[in-house]
Amino acid sequence: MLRRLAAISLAICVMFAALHAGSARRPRYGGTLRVEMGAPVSALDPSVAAVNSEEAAAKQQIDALIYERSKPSAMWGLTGPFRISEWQPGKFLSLIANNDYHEGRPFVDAIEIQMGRTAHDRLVDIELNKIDFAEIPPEQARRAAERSIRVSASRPDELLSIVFVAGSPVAEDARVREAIARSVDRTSLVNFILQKEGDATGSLLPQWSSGTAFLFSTAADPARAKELLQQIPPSQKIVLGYDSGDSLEQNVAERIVVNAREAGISVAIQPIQQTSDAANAAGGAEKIDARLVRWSMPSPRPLEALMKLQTDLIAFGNADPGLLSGRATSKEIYDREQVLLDGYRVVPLVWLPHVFALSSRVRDWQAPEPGQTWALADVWLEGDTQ
Amino acid sequence: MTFRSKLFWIFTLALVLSVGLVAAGVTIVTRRAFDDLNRHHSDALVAQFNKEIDRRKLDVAHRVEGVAEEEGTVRMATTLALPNADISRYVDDANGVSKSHQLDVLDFVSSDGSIISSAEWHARFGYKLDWVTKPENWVARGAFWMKVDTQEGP
Repeated sequence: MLRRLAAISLAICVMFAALHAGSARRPRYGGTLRVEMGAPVSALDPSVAAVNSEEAAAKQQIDALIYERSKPSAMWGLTGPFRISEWQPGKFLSLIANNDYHEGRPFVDAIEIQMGRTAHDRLVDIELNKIDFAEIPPEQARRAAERSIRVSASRPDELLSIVFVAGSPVAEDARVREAIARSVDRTSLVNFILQKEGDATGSLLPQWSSGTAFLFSTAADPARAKELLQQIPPSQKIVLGYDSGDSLEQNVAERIVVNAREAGISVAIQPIQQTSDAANAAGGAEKIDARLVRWSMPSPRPLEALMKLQTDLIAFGNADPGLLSGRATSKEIYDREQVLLDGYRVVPLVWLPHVFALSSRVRDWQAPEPGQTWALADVWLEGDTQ
Repeated sequence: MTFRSKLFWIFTLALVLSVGLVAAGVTIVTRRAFDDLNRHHSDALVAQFNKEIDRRKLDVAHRVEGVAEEEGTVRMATTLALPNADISRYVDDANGVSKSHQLDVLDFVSSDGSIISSAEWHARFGYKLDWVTKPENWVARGAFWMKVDTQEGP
């Protein structure tokens, strides 16, 4: 009797497994993936530097598709998952699948990349089914989803923060910097400007990576900001710079002005023409006291990410507290975050995710982890067969 | 002094006095006439300005009524009346509505006076407009003047 029951159970299990396997979708080869990018990429040569960080980020995505990047960039060969079939600098790039790619041929036959498209155009094109894939600003994610656009978001891995420029006479007083830091209402930034996409933060590493972000306060304290201001003589306006081409940074800067004004601090905003020039990045060319800075995590590992951020902050004039050893504990990483945040030279505001809009035919897309590029070689298209 | 000299001086004095009197009289009369004309002109301008202001007040009041009766606004009001309503989704609405109704200044304000969306100062959401919650019949009062804060200042 028991043997019969066991045999029947086994048969039922096999039947369900077979049914599931039959109904599961198998990847298909073929089709052209249509992509749109915001930044125009003017040169594919890895030795040619990008004009700004936006172009550098776009170039990195294209590099990952055409180059085999296991060696240093000077030795990269055009043996990546795709090969170039048409190239119009700054406008259009057409790629075809590399059948000889050592990790296996990509599923799609070709990728067509249109460059220099605004966020609005990208959203309209994906809604009209003219394209299959585009990165969209995080603040547009909710509205895109409400318009029935398929949206995929990475874990929040881009930090938006205020960085005070070293040598600025107005911002040299730590109490002024602390007053501004305490006046900012980060929750409103996330809820209203970012439309609930992202996390308010007081830490230099996201909660999902370090596990200690919750220990850093994100609450606004305008009363304390007012107290601090009473201790110092009235100063000139603090000039806060933001990237002139970034509407999110502009909205955040305008909100900081409102928050600061309520606390009695006079802040003016100034758009900055973004270049890759290091002196300008540090605020040298512009007469600014602080600027909004977006910083992408290079790795999901907290120590690696924090050491890279520390190096970038030193470029802004922060003191160098030295490198942590590769075996640093969570407590040591947390302590180093505290050291970097002491003095309020850097004021973390929000962690932003990267958000992507996808057409309904794109399958097996996975949002990239920090340091990774778009895995377009792994996606396949529903309805397009070999 | 000879008689001829006396006669000459008397005539000269009489002539100067009469010319002076006539000139002064003409000046006074002309000035009064110009003052009257200016006053009439100013009164007419003030009346025209007040009329234009009243017309603009009515125009703005009608536009605001139009905004309030719009389907989108009514939907926003009914949605926000629900418990745990999310006001953040309406933060950009004032901008589009103000453009479509040609209003430079437009704020959507919740029942507690906090700004939901502001056309003239987008970043000011969440802060309160205290005058809105004062116990006064705003509808009956109609359009009125007030100083408005913007990003560039009051």
